[in-house]
Amino acid sequence: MRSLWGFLVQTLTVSLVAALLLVVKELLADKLSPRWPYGIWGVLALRILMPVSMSRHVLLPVPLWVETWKGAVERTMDSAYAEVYRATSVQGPVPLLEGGPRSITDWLFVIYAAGVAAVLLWYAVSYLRLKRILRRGRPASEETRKRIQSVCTACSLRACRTVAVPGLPSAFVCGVFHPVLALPADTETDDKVLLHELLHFQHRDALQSVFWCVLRALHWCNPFLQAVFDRIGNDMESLCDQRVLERLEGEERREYGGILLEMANDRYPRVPGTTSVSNGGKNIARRITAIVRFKKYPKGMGLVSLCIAFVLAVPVLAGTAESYEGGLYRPRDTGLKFTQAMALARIRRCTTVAGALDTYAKGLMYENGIYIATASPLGRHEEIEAEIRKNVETENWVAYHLDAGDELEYLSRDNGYQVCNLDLQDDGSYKALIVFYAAAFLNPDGEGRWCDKDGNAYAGCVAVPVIIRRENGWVVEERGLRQRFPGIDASALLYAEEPSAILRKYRANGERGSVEVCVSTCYTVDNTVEGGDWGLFGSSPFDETPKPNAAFDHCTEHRYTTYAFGGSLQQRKKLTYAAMESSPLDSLGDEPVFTGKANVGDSGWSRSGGSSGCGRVVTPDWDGTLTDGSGGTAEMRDGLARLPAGYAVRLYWNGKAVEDFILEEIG
Amino acid sequence: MGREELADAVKRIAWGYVLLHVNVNLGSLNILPNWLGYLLILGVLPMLGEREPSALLLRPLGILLALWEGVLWALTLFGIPFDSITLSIIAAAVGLYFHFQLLTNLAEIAGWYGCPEQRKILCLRTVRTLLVTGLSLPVPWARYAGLTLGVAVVNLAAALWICSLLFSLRSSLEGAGRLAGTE
Repeated sequence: MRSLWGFLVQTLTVSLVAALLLVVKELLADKLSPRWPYGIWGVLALRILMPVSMSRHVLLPVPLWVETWKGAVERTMDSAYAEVYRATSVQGPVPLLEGGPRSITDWLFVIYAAGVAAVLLWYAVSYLRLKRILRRGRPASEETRKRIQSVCTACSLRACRTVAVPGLPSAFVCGVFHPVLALPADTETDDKVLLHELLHFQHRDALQSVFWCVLRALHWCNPFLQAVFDRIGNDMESLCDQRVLERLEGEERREYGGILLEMANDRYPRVPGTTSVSNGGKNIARRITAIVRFKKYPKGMGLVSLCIAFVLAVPVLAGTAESYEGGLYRPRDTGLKFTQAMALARIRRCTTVAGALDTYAKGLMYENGIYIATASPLGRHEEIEAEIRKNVETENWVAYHLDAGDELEYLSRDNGYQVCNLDLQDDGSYKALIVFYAAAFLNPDGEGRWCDKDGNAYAGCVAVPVIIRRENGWVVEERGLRQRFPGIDASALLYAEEPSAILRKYRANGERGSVEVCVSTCYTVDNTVEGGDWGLFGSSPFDETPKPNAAFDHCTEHRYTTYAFGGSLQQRKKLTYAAMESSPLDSLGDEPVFTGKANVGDSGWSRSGGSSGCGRVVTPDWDGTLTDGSGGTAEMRDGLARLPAGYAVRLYWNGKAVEDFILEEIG
Repeated sequence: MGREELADAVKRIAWGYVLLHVNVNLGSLNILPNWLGYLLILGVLPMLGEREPSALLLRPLGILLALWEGVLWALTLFGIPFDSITLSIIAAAVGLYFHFQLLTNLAEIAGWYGCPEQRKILCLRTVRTLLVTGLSLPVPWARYAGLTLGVAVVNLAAALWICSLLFSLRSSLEGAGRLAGTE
């Protein structure tokens, strides 16, 4: 925990878990063995020790609430430990101070951290004082030692060093590494009390007491959790009572209850590393109630106790990812809802490359600044927020509107978007093009629709070049100019020989010419709406909700092969029919597989295994080229299309194979 | 309380389990609501309590589960979306204990009357507890068709097992009762 906000997330989440456990414990109080009510606090201990994730909430969306308060409060401050545009994170359960405090929230965090240190110091001093008092004690009498030995023998327990200390109100065990059983020197301690303390010693309850005291210190300023820690201490004593009662018979059990009642008004040590049969009147009343209910539980109860603990532990430890649906991403004004939406964008980041692209693309399509912020680096959030606020003030937009730019003015939103040419870079980031369908374009002069000379509006597509890199998940940044392609549909862009839409090029030169293969890839996220239908009023089957955890569900590979004639004039004169067939190669040394048949006539073909070809009748006006476009589903590996190492192309002249080309990647 | 009354109580519990496991929906209306199943079981707990006092401890939990199921049923009926993780967790924990203890009590009763179903009920109780716990794991069961089908088949098998075993226990109790009457 490095700021007040981190502590608030942690302590509120832990409080919720404690409240849940208390409710379930109350419901099952008289039904399960006391081992369960104490054991279940292990779930709380784990929750305290595990840092709370900001992206996965436990029971209630506390991280979002705290991040929202932080956004509202820190805006007016210059804090050293927290920044508005840096998401709160909780790396550990202990407070860590970095630098000196500058604001009120910083000072509050310093006070909290100092409180933790002070409470721990107080515990240490109390423990040392108690140890000093015990040093004044004298070894227990021979008679007492015999009684202890007799209790140990009867119940198969180990004995520990025993001292008799004058003025002690009741017996207790003190010490973690070298425990001592301290007995009042002035009165004789009952065998049942000795049994109780020996059972504490047997189960190392003093060590557990230290553990709970450290956790108590971490949440010293949370009164609810302080009460919960009191309850935990009492549950530990109840469990010890249960163990005692399991070893006693009939009347002895009643006597044991009587002894506890007599201790109700006694003072008792409340120091880490100690356990005592006496723990205050209110607590003893609760323990007496448990003793009245005492029974030996059947064996099978262990199974259901464990299963209930498991059912409780899994959701409170793993947390729940918040749904991205609903109105949280569409605040109407710049009030607290907007602050909350920006907080949401800071803490719920995109966990996959596909998720970041989907969220960013939908941000551009629906001009939603919160979506865009979710998929953008945190360093851009201040700029995005300022832009949205300006839009609200100057143009009265709703408080999520972020102008996507002139190029994306007339997007055809029902068709969605495509991710093209996703490519892994050396630094681990990715490059890609997000291609949108455009129903029209804004006129280059900025007014009205862009039309041809006949007055027909152009439709086509827009390509937005982006990089996707890691930053607390994945973020998208635009790199390069957005390109408009009037007259070219998004799905046709990859066949359009457009240089910016080519992912890889392969080339080979031979005696009879040269061959080039241009490859592009296209990825899609499943955005179909279950049961979606094209409605009368513009509703669409395209899912508008961003999917920050999405994976690509489909990938296609598009190939454009061009042969350029390079033979002699004489060869050209004899040529009546030219054809080629291309086949992908997993590695350049592979033997290419060709069908060996060149079709007659102006046609193209493709076959399973990725081979395709085309041919044409050579006429005097032939420009000397053959072009073949093909595509199909690409095999994906590690989230990317698996592209071949090269291509083999066989050239046919007048129906006969005349030359093979092995194409290598050139860029 | 005689065997006939106990047999009648077990029959009602069996029908309660049928309602808990079988859902027939007419649009958003579930005509075999789970809350009715819990009410059937709750109605016979005092009878079981005469033989097995710990069954009486189930009454407040049964009322809570019936209420929870009733609220869910009504909200579904009126198409009101509702999703409370906290309440779901509490209901899951309470439900686990409720069914575990109820089946334990039924097994005890079966043993008391020498019915052969005792061991099977104990075995069913353990399997059911583990199954319900396993299904509470944060696995996206609905995302994969195979998993969904697997879970549905296992659930169906468990439901059939519970119901057939309880009806069989009723028959055993009735049969033993008639035999005792003839003698």
